[in-house]
Amino acid sequence: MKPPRLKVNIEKRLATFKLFVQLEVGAEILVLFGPSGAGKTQTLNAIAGLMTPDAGEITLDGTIFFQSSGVRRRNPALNLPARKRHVGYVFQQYALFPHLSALENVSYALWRQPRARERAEALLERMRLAELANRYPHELSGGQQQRVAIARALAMEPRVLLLDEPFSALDSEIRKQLHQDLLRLQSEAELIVIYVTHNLEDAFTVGHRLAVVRNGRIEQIGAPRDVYPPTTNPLVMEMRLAKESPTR
Amino acid sequence: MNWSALRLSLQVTIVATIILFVIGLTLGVLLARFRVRGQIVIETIIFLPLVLPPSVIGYILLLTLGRGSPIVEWFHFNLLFTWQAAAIASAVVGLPLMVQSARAAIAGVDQVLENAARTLGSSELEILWRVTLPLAKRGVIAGLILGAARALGEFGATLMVAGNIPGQTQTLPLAIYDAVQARRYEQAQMMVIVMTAVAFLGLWCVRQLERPLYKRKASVRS
Repeated sequence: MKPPRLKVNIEKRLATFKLFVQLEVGAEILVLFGPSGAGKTQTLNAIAGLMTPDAGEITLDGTIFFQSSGVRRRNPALNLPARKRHVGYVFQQYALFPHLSALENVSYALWRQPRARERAEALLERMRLAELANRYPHELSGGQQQRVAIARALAMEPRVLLLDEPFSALDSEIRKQLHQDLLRLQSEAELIVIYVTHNLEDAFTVGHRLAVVRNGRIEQIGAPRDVYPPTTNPLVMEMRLAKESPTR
Repeated sequence: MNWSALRLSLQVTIVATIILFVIGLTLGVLLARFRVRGQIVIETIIFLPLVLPPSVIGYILLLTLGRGSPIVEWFHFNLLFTWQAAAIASAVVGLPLMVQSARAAIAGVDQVLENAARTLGSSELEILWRVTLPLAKRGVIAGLILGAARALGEFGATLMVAGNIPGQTQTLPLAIYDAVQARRYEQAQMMVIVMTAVAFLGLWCVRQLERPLYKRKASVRS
């Protein structure tokens, strides 16, 4: 594994609990697994710049995203606005712009940039969506919308990609396909991927590492096999070994 | 048909609509997206023309636009008894309708979409232009039509600040009143038909705009 590059160390008082997250993520897929309301989405929002922590620090390869005044010693807090962080974010309900076609959604971030159209078309091609470029979100299936959302987030060539329950509304065949897409994209671009889910199966099959989140805290973090509950079922053991041997 | 009144009515309504668009949209955006201290007072003031008698609005406008008011002293320009005064009076009575509709439409835009635009590198102004307003378009246009229709029908406040000068400030509603007073019923009738037809058309357009914009087709759902 590569040396960690995204460092998160934040505190935030929320309505029902206190969020207290410490993470270091490299070019890998880190799964945040936990029940809904555990603070997983809030963690993503803090990294993307959509939520301001009360205290702590978020850095990406020396670029400071957030630094509270406590860390900065009497200096005012530093908070890079979301638009300057270049963090790709795939939202839970896709959040595609309904008034824009698939192509226009993908090229949204490339506005005023050279060859925006060609670059967006290439991305759609990569996500197997080339023939749907002119469709509007309401004319696409859930899986297609999700692929457009991923292409849109990747258009600005981010170092970090955040996915919030990305495939939870999709059936398992499409989910499997999208997981393969995600693994391929991650290794091609050496992306730092944080994948939030409350689905047990997703949690143990997608990521290189797995963090279990509860009540705003990370209870356990490590390779999926270390987080696995011990089992004596030979079939489960077999499947686990088969899955894990090819990774890394 | 009183053609000069029709022409003046159009002129006044167009200018009032431009004022409505600029001020009403600005207020709609601010009220939908920001919370400030004393907001309820500001909102109440904007909505007052909806319930105040036209004579009260006219009186307040006389104080604002008349001699001795700071605005007039500053610009050295007397608006009273000009068609521009009629346009301002019409805009004031149309403003609540525009603000209400625009604010509701803008507040109805899913904030997750605006957050998505933020993570894609957009500034707040760019988000307003590329995401929020295109999605709130229908409500904004509906508000503009309602406000314009109300402005077109303005009578009382216009009478007080612009007078009833034929060919100069006499709009259609005033001309109808004059025609009836002078027992020129046929002329009044014609203008009544025109006013009713325009109002009907405007409200019909508003109803059309109320239909949902991006309806998911059941057939392509997976």
